[in-house]
Amino acid sequence: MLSVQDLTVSVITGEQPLDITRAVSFDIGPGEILGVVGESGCGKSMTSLAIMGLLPSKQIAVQSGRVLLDGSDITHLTPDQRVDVGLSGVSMIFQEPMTSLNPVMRVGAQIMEALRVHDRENGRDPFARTRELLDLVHIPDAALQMNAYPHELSGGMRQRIMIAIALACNPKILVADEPTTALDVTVQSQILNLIRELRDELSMSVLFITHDLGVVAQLADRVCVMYAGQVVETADVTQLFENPVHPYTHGLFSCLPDPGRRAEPLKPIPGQAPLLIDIPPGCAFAPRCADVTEICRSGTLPWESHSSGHQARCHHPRTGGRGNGQ
Amino acid sequence: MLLNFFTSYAMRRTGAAAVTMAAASVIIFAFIHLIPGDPTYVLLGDGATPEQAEALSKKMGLDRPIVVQYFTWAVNVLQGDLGKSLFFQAPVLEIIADGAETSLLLAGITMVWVVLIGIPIGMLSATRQGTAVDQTASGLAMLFASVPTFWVGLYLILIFAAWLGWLPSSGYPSIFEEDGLYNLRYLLLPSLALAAPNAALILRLTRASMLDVARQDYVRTARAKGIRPWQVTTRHIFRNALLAVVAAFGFTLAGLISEAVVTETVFSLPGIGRLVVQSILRRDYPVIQGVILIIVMLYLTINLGVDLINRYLDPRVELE
Amino acid sequence: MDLLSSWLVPFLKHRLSLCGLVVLIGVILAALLAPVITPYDPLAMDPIGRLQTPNMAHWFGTDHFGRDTLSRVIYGARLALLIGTGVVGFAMATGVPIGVLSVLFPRVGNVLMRLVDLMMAFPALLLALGLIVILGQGVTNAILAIGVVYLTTTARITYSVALRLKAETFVEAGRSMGANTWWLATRHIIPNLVSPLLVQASFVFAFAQLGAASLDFLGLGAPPDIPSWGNMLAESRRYITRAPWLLFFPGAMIVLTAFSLNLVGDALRDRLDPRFRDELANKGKP
Ligand SMILES: Nc1ncnc2c1ncn2[C@@H]1O[C@H](COP(=O)(O)OP(=O)(O)O)[C@@H](O)[C@H]1O
Ligand SMILES: [Mg+2]
Repeated sequence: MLSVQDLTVSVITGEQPLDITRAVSFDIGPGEILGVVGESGCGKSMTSLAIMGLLPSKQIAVQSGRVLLDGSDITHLTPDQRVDVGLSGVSMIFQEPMTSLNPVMRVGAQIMEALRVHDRENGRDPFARTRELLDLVHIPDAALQMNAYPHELSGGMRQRIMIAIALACNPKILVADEPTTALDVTVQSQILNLIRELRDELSMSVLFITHDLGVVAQLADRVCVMYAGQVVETADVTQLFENPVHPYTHGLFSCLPDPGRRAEPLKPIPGQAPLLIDIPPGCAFAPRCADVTEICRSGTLPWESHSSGHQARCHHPRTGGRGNGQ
Repeated sequence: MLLNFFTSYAMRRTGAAAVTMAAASVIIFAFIHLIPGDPTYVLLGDGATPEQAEALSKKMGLDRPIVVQYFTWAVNVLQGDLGKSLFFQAPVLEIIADGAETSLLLAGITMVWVVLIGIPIGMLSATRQGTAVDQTASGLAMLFASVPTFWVGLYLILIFAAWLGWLPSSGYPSIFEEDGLYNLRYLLLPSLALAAPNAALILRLTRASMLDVARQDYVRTARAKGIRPWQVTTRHIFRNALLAVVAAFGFTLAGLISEAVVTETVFSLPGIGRLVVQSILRRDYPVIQGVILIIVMLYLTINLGVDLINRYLDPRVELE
Repeated sequence: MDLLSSWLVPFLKHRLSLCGLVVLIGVILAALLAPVITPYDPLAMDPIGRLQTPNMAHWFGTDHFGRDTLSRVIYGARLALLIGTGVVGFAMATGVPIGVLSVLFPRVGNVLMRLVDLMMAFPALLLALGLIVILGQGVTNAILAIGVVYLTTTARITYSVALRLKAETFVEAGRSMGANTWWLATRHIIPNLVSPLLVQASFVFAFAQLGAASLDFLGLGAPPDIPSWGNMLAESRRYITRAPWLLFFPGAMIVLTAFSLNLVGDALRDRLDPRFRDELANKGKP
């Protein structure tokens, strides 16, 4: 369905391009929810903007690799160009619902603006369709709320409007970049439920980006773990939670409070993620890794399969389940 | 519901303007008393007879507490009695009214230039950020913001009136005189001189707010919808950028009023600005006081209007 | 040294603002060295050599009294500098304490800032003219009158920057209101005010030039016998058709000085903490 192949996104303003992501690859099947996890700054947002064709191309651009939608290359097309060639199957919602809506336009008008582009042929009345969409994202009093301005709505409501706008574009795939990070916990789970529900009802795929493994567990079918611009491990969600192999993934789990177990002290990963300007050769995680050996510090890393659909980029994978290995 | 929000804002904003006006009127009232000398002689001139002084002193209630004096004055002002000019020996309000046409037309025409020059070039500059067009426009804008209006005016007179003879160099007969609207040509050079620094200001403001808005998240949302780039610019960027420009209009107006005083003097226009300067030189204090009062009133009213428009365009606006 | 180089960086990046800095230094030097570098006495009249076009003896020509324009322009720099320093000094000396005190003592502050707002109900030149009427004409009074205008903007900027600093300090320190005022003022507010106020100072300096020139031009500023750029323009006004160059040099000096100050201000603003940039972009000019 959506296939991201060796995507390298770089900052091109300096003398030498700096790679924000390096050869990121993943596939999303129909109706699948793919979770992408990683610390902030690891390139999740840039990956999703690249998929949307929304990179600020004067500063940041796709250096190599491709984004394929149903086999068609959409890498270098902006959203309006995608509309022209009939490849507008990807929609996106953003991390900041507070600032992502035009403050001086009624929310209904902002939805209808998208409908006018993407819902032309269907011959539906945009007004009625807007109400339908608002119902679909569970906004009470749709008729009334259409006339609201963004500042009159709560963060959760605004994120629902954002989802309605995304749905107005008739997406096959919804890219959600940390859509709940800025919201309260209760609102957070409502939005997550809504996304799952919409996936089921509309049978669309979701690329769900988060820094929170807990959210991934609730929502995703499959997971990619990113570190310093690379995918370091990918697996089914159950597989990853039962049997993570990359030391970084282990590290993420030890930062996660686990309600199933006794309260153990949380162990944050020592050190900090590298800056773009000095990503170490070899494994980028090596300076923080407990299992590091000499081979980790140079050369290319293996991309080994551990079971079907479970791969990791590591010389010393920890097999044997969670909590195992130091 | 929406109208109610707006009405409520409008009422509170108008109330605030009224309070400011009242407070400003106290200062303007005090003005006459701050001028060294006996207020009656300040208002009547040194040539006044004791009888005249006596009469005015009675009218102003100078023997009574200052608060009472203020209210006496305020009541007179509200009835349109701003006193009498020493120089013209005529009611101040009439003299000001004589200059109103010139000054209002000058300000109006200038505003047209400011909007027509400042906003489009500011937009162009922002959409071509960093290019030669942008650098030239921004550089010129900063230059013009640093140029004294009267200097521009004098050279405009030299070139277009003295050398080329295309336009008159000074004065302004009313549009109600012979030639009618054609008389507006007298205001062409003055309005251009006055527009120069103000258009520069609006240009810079438009450019800055366009660039600021273009960085906002909601512009990215608009792009994500797949609408045309020009639609993103007009519907989302321009509209929001214009809000900042509208909000700053009141502020531009203050500068414009100040510079109009000088411009009217350069072009010998029979407006309120020149009137105040001449009245200062003639020590015609009642006129000075009256002009200050009227200009402040006008300025606050226009600012009120600008704020109301701004609130109408931007529903987020609240009183400070 | 580190501080100095951090201030120099924006100038090295923008060549234009470096030019501005050089021009300003030139103006300051001209003002200081005026008696040494002027070819003639700026007040010496020469009835025979009136209204000369620029020539080898008089580079900028002579005026209607036969006075040497170049010498007068150089002496004009003195007054420009005096007015600028005076206005900036007055505006800072009054506006900054008003702004800071208003933040530290909100109850007094409310009243003070209302008064400042009230003064802003008077368009700048009108306020200055009103004060001139009360105080009388003269260089000092012109400085005071223009200074009062910029007192308001300076107080406002100080107020909004200091308010922000106060809020941030409380968030960081986790302190509640009523923390030690002295500590707040000396440790957190005043040191952080320096850079924004330096930017404001360069803008005020620029606007003071234009304001003073306007007053001189209207005949309400410096006494006519003082060779200020504004006075030179006012006097030469009648000769605009006969001797247009007479108006060129003093006017160009005003533009050059104000433009340079604006360039310098902009360069300084660009290196400023982005938190404070908006305040200075919007409220710096009355
Ligand atoms: N305009 C830019 N110039 C230089 N680096 C940038 C720019 N924008 C983002 N980056 C860098 O790109 C990296 C990835 O950012 P992002 O994709 O937003 O991370 P995430 O969404 O995972 O938190 C960060 O390290 C950030 O510093
Ligand atoms: Mg992000």
